[in-house]
Amino acid sequence: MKASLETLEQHFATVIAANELSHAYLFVGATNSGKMTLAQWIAQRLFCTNVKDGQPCGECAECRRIEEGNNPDYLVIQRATRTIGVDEIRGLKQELSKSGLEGRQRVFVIQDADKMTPAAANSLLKFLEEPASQVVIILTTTRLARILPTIQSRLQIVTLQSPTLATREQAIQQLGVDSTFSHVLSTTQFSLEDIQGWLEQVDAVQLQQTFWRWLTQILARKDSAFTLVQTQILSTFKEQKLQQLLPDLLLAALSDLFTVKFALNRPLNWTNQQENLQQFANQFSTQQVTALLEIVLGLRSMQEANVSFQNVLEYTTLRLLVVLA
Amino acid sequence: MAYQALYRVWRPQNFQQVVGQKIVTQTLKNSITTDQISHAYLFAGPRGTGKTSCAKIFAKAINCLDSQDGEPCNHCENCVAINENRLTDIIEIDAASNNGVDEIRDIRDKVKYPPTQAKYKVYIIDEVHMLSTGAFNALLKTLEEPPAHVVFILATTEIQKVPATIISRTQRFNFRRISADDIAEQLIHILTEKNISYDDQAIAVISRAADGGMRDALSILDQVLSFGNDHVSLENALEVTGDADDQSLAHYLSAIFNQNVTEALQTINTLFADGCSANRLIEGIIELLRDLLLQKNDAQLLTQMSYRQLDADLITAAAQIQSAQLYQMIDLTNEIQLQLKNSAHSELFLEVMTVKLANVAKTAAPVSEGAAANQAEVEKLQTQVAELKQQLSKLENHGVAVSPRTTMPKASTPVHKTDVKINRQQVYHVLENATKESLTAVRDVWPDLLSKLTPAKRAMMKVSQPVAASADAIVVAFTYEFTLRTATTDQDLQDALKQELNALMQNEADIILVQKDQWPKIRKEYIATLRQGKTEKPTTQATPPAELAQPTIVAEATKLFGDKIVKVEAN
Ligand SMILES: [Zn+2]
Ligand SMILES: [Zn+2]
Repeated sequence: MKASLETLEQHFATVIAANELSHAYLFVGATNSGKMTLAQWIAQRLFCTNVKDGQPCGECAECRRIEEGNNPDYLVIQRATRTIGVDEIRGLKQELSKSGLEGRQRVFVIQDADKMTPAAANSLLKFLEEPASQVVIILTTTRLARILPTIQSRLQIVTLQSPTLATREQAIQQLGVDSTFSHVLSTTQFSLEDIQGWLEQVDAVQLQQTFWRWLTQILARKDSAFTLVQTQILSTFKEQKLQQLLPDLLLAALSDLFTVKFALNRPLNWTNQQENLQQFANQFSTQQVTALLEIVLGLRSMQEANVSFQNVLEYTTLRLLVVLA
Repeated sequence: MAYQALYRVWRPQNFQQVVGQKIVTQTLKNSITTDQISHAYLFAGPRGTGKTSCAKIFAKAINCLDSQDGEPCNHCENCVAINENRLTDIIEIDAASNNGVDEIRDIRDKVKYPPTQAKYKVYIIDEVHMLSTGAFNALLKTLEEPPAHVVFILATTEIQKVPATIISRTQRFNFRRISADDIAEQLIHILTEKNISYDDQAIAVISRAADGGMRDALSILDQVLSFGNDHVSLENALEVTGDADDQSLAHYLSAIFNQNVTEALQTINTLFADGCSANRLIEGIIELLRDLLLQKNDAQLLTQMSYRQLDADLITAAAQIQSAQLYQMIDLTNEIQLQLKNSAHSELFLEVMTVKLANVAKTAAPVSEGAAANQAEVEKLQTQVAELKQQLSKLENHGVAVSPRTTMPKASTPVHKTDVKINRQQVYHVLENATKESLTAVRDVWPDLLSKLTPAKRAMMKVSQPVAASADAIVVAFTYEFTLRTATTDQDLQDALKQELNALMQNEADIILVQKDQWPKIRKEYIATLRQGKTEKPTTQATPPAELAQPTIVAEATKLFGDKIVKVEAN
C-alpha cells in the first residue's frame, strides 16, 4: 500500500485500536518521506500514557523519552557505514530474545535495512518469523528491490508517498541557495547536511552556470561539449558527493525537456529554464527527447559500477550528441 | 494477546494441508509408509513455498506414535511436543546466524548419542546455503557417516550456493512456486473459515501479486484485512498490492495503440499519484499485452486462460496492431522491468517506456535506411550499457560468484526480438543423452499429464508434443509460435508441467520448449556439430575429437532418430 504519512498514521491508529498490529513491517519511501517519523509515531502510540483520540500526546514522559532516544524499549539501528553486518544484527537479536522472556512491549527499527549484508539479512529471517510476543520490528528502505525476497515475504510492506517538497525547499533556501536551485535540490536524495557540505566547497551559482553551459552545448549539438567535460565540469564537480549530484541535475533537466515536449501537466524542476527548454524541444523529435532521457536514466548505475567519473561523462556526452546528430 | 500473522496461524500441520506441493508431500509420505527414510534430505525452492513447514511435518510424522498413511497425528505425545517446540530431539539450526559453524561442529560430537524421547533425532538446517566453507566441511563429514537414528533436513532458497558434495549426499526435493489457482483456493478456504466475505477479483489480484509464495499471499491478505476485517474488497486489494485497476490499464494501452502519447503519459501519472507501484503497473501491462496476443490468435483460448474480461474499446484499438508488434511491446516492457529494479526513478522509466511503446504501435511500416543506421548505433550503445547494468546488478545481488539458472526463463527475463530464444546448449545436451525409450515413455504418459492440468493450461498445451527425451530433460515442440511465446512467459504453466511430468515419470527431468517448425533445423544443426566434433559437454568430460568419428555419430544419431533419418542425413 502507498499513502501519505498522515493517512498512514490514521491507518495505524485504527489498526492499533483494533489490536491488529502485525509483528513486522517494511517502510519503503524516499528520503524525507517520513519513514522514521511513522516508526516513532507507532512507538509513541504504543507507549504513551495519555493517548487521546487514538493519537499519542507527544508530551508525557514516555513520548518525550522516545523522541529523545532515551527509551530502551524503542531501539533504532542506524548506521552511517555502507553496510550493516551480522554483528550488529546479533546485538539486536540478543535484545529480542530478552524481550521474549520479559514479555514487555518493544519496538525495534532497522533503518536503511537494504544496508544489511546477505548474512545479516538471512540471520534475521527466523526472528521475523517467530518473533517474541509484544515485539514490533520495523525495517525501512528507500529501495524495495534491494530487500531480500525472503525478508519481504515475512513483512507487511508499507510505501510512503514522497512528501511535499515545499518545507525542504525552504530549508535549502535558508542555506543561501537561490530559489530555482533549491527547488531542484529538494527533489534529490541528498540531505541538508550534504548540501551544506558542498556549499562550503563550491559556489552554487557558478556550479549551475557550468552545468548549463555544458548541457546547452550538448543540446545545441556542439562537439565542444565534449571538451567542456575535461576543462570545466571535472574541476567544478570535484568532490565525490558533487559527482553524485551531477546525474540528478542532468536527470532533472532532461525530464523537464520531456515534460515540455509532451506538454505534460506538471511543474518543471528547473523552473527558470522553461523558455530555453521550449526552444530545444521544438527542434527535437519526441523520439530524440525520449532517447536523451533514457541515456541519463542509466547514468547512476554506470557510476555505481565503478566506471570513472570522467569516462561516464565523456561517454554520456558522446551518446547524447549521437542521438541529436 | 498480540495479533498473529495469518501465515503463522495457517502454517500447515500435516502434509495434506501443504498447498501446491503434491509430489513432494506424496513422495515423503510414501517413504514413511514404506519405511524408506533417508538420512539426509535437501528441500530447495523459492520463498514461501513450504520447505520449513514440510521439514517440521516430516519430523513429526517419522516420530509420531500414531502415524496414519505417513501423516503425523498431531495428538500423540511426540507430535504435541514438536508442535510446542519442546522436543529436544528435533534440532532447528539457523545456518545464517553467526554461530552456525560451532553448532555444526557440535552436531558431529552429539550426533552419536541416541534420541532421548523420539525415534529419530532430526536436524533441520534452514537457509543452509549461508553456511561458511568450514561449516559445510564439518557438515559433510557428518553426512558421510550418519548414525541410523539421525535424519538431516537441509532447506534452501538458493540451491546454487550449496556445494555439489553436499547435494550429492542428500535426497533432493524441489519445491515449486505455488500456482495462482492454488493460492486463490487457499485464500478462499481461509476466508470461508474466518467467515469473511470477498470480491472474486480481489482474490485474483492477491494471488497474482504473491508471485508463487503462499507466505507472500497471506502477508498481503493480512494487510488487506487491516483495512476492514469483514470483507476483502477489490479496492483494498489494489491499494495494498499497488496494482492498477483494469480500466485504467485498458485506457493506457488503448492510448498507446492509438499513438496518443500524451494521454498515455497522463494516465500513468495519475496512477502513480494514486499510489500505484511502478513494478506492479508494468506487470499488469505485460499481462494485458499477453492477453491481447492470445485474443488475436485464439479468442477462445483467452477466455479459458484469463480471469480478465478484455475491455471492448481496447479490443477495437488493438485491431490495428499486429501480433509481431505485440511481441515487440512485450519484449520492450520486459527490458524496462529489469532496469526498474536498480533505479530510484522508476516513474521516469515508465514514461520512457510509454513513448517507445507508442512508437512500436506506429512503426508497422519499415523504417528508412538512414534512421535505421542511427537506430542501430543507439541500440549498440544501449546493449553496452545494458551489459554494464547487468554486471552491476549481479555484483549487487550475489557478490561475485553468480551461478546460472538451470530452469526455463521466467516471464521477466528478456527474450530475443521476435523469436523465442532457444537454449541450444540445453537442447543439445538432451539430444546427446536422448534415447528412443525415454521418448516413448514420455509420449506414453503425455495424455495423462495433460489431463492433470487445469482446463486453461490443457488448452494451451493441446498443440504441443514431446519430440526428444533423455533421463534428465525432455524437449516439447509447439505448433504455433504464439502459444510457445505464451508458454515460455507463463511460469505457472511450466511449473505445473514439470511437476506432473516428474510425478508420472518418477524423475526430476526438466522441460525445454521449442517451436515445431524449428525442430528439424535444430536436429540437423546438432548432427552437424556432432560431425565436427564441436558439441560442448559442459558437465561431462570432453570426448577427444578423434573418438567422434563417423561410427559414433551414426550410432548417436541412430539411437536418437532411428535408421530412416540417419540415412537421409547421409545423402
Ligand atoms: Zn504521550
Ligand atoms: Zn503423533
